[in-house]
Amino acid sequence: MKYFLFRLVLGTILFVIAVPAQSQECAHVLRGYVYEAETNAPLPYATVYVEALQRGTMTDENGFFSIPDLCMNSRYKMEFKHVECVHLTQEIDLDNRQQYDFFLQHAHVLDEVQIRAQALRPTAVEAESTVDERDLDATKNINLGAALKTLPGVNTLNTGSSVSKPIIHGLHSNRIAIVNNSVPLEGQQWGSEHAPEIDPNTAGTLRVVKGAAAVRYGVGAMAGAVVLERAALRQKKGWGGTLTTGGFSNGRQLYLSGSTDFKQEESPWTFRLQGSWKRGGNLHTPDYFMQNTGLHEGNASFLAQRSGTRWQHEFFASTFNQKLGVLRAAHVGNLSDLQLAIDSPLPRNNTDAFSYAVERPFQHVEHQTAWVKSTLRINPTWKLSAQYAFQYNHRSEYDVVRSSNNDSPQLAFQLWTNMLDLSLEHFPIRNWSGGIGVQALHQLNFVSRGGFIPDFQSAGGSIWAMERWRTFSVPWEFEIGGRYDYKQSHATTSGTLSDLDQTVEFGTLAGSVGLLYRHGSHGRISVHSGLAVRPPSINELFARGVHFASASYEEGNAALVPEQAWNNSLSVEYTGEPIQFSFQFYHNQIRDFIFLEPQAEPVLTVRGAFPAYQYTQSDAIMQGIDAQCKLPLPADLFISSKASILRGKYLLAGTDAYDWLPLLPSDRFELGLGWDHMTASDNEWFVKLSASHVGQQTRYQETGLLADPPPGYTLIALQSTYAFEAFEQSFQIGLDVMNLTNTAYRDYLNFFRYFSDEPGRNVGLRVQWKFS
Amino acid sequence: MTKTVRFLSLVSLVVLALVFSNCKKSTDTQTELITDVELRFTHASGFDQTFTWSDPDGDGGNAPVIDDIVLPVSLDSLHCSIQIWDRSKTPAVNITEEILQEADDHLFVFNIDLNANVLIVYADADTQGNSLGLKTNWITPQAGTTTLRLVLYHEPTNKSNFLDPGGEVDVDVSFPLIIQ
Repeated sequence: MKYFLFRLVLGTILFVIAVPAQSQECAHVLRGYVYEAETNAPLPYATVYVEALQRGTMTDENGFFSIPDLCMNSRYKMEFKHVECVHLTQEIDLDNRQQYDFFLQHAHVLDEVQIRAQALRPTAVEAESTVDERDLDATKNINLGAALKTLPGVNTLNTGSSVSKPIIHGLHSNRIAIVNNSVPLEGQQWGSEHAPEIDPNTAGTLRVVKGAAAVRYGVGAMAGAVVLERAALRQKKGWGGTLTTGGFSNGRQLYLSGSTDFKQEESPWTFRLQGSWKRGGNLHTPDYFMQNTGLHEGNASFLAQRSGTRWQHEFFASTFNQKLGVLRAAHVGNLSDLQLAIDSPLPRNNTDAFSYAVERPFQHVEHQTAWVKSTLRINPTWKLSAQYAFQYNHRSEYDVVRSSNNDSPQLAFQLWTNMLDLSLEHFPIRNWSGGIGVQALHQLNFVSRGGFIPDFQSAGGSIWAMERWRTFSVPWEFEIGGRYDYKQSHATTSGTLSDLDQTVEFGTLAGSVGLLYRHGSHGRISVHSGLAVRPPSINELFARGVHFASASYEEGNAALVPEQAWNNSLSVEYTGEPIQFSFQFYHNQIRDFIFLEPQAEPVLTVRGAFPAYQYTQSDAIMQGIDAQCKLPLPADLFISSKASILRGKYLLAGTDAYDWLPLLPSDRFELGLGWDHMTASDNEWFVKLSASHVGQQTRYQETGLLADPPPGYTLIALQSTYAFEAFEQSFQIGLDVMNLTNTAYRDYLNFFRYFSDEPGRNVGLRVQWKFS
Repeated sequence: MTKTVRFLSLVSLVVLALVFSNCKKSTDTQTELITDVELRFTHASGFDQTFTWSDPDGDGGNAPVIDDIVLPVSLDSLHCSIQIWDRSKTPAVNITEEILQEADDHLFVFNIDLNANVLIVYADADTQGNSLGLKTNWITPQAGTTTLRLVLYHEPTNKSNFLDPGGEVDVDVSFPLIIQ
């Protein structure tokens, strides 16, 4: 909406400029109104500032302002600020017009403490990165991991080529939160082969908070958070949305994705209906097809919003359904099978042919979400919100079985989660804005087939508070927050195998302080320090069984205590012209870090002996650097580059010696050459050729290692889009080529590196239609 | 207005579909688990003994209990038949029957040190005429002590290659083997 209105304003301005220029005189008065974009209500007491002249004023009760002594036919950069709104900077060309209108987006007080969905927020003090819009468009139909991987410091832990979990600064699974539309995703996150049940098509923006973000996002965000925010809802009456269709050559994948908003005139209601579908078959490495790597996915969501002057209500429901083939060759019965697979240059038990069929082994995952949220503006300073969210996660894993008429899964988990959030926020009171809140959680896990983790029921609550100090003439901002979480879990298993009936409870504290310094309007430096305490999760306490993909036996440890992470980061960012760069340094010190330790004695099972691992605790240190920069060249060309380096060690029990932490991302660098060109008719070309290099991981733990980490590799990728207007509609065509040189490689962060190469060249083509 | 009504009814359908999609109830059958491997040896002389590899609590937990296979020296055939059980269920599930039904997809391989001088001959076959191994005949001409490693392959790709039949391993157990 904001963009629409701005375009309208801008359009008018451009039209007016076309009027023959007059001689310059500098006694002109600029008169205008400032409105709130969402309601079109006049905005009183907004500051209006002309940067070049260092002069400003404030709007009156009607949102009106005037600034005298400006030069006719000149361009001015105007800054608008209002305590309740997002700062707006806009350039205007001053002409004969009587009046100018400006629209400010309403800001929400807090940087979305836990439950708030908001497209706009104050600058974060934590280290964070947002996925570039173009990268998001190009990757969101692959999966969430592919989109996140475009950020420095974010990698993915893969199981084959379709299961991809985000890793932030080396940590993953239970240690990061995935917050979709303000609701933290609750699934079987503990499993390294359990991909997040998220359709990236629901996201308007996708960003990653790196470092301890537990105060905002709960204990799950000990190492960071992946935050998906929906695109702003339509403000104008009528229909509008996007429709995208496309495909990928590798796996002959096709997809269709669409979203439409509807707003009725004179009605406070706005609706959004969104859906996506995709189907793919066996993927191909440069040399062979990988049997059973197809997938089938269908997702839909619905959002209704009722906006009033004091109340706002939202209702949301979504469904995620996925059937995911698991590489047939990766199914091994025991350690000697695995050794044979490692020694074989080609995957064993693999049929080198294309097929869309998804057979055993496969995963079937469904995830349903529904939430309601209400916000009440008590008075201009205070705001009260309540949100209730329900999630149901059903994961079934179908293994290769003996009997051909067995159609049931070998592992099935059902997880019900209820969450209730209440928060009271305030707009600035003596330059402090912030809020407090409480949260209640109830969770029920039922293992209907198989084992590995027990059934459990958890109940918990948390209380948090966060305040931020900022005043507009001072370049410093300061933020402080704290949180307390309590959770009680009752775990049970029954049957002849083993009996478990145990209750565990944990109370944990989290805190964070941040300092932000702005240098001019483009530069900023921030320092953040966060403490997060994470209680051991159910699998770490009670897991028991063989993990077949890794042919290892895992055992939980009921004596574990919560781990404590103390995370410090320094971010420097400059987003002006001509150069743009960001640089982040982080240091993460974790006391009682929970990890799987290889045991001396293997475990003897009916399928032979398996190397045994038990959850244990030790102190760990992780630190690294993420950097990114963009440099313009003549003729609309630019150079962009990214780098990320991470080192992680843990203290060996009973010694002063450290060993490398396993499965950490190796050093990676990316260099790209791009061309971003606007044609005379306002159509936009974007082409980028990039090379990314992933080094070999030379720092790894020798114990329990079956094969050396695979060698490093360099991949070439091409990304191109052409955006144009036709029939008064916007279109975009995208052509992407991944692994352009068809390089055969394996990746250290892929559990299936023992079995098969990574996919070869993949050409993606998509067409997007934005209708309104 | 009709447009809105149509839209709203579509919306409520989606919501209803979401609400009711959760109502599937799954039957409570459990995953197959092999807890016991039994080798029963019989001989014309009246010798009849069963030796068991047993891990009733599944992977991990308590270590498996493994019998020593003690056989007499014999120049004519000892008949061996294998039974595979899941005794974690009540009643116990006899997996042998499933293996027999899907005989083409299974192969038992017996590994004994070549110096041990034990001869094992397959006494059964699948529908394709390939070896299966649920039934075997053993000749044990001299006394000695060695180890028997019994491997059950599922969906082997080459049933005539006993060293590497392909597929994956369902059972891989070792017994002390004493011939006296």
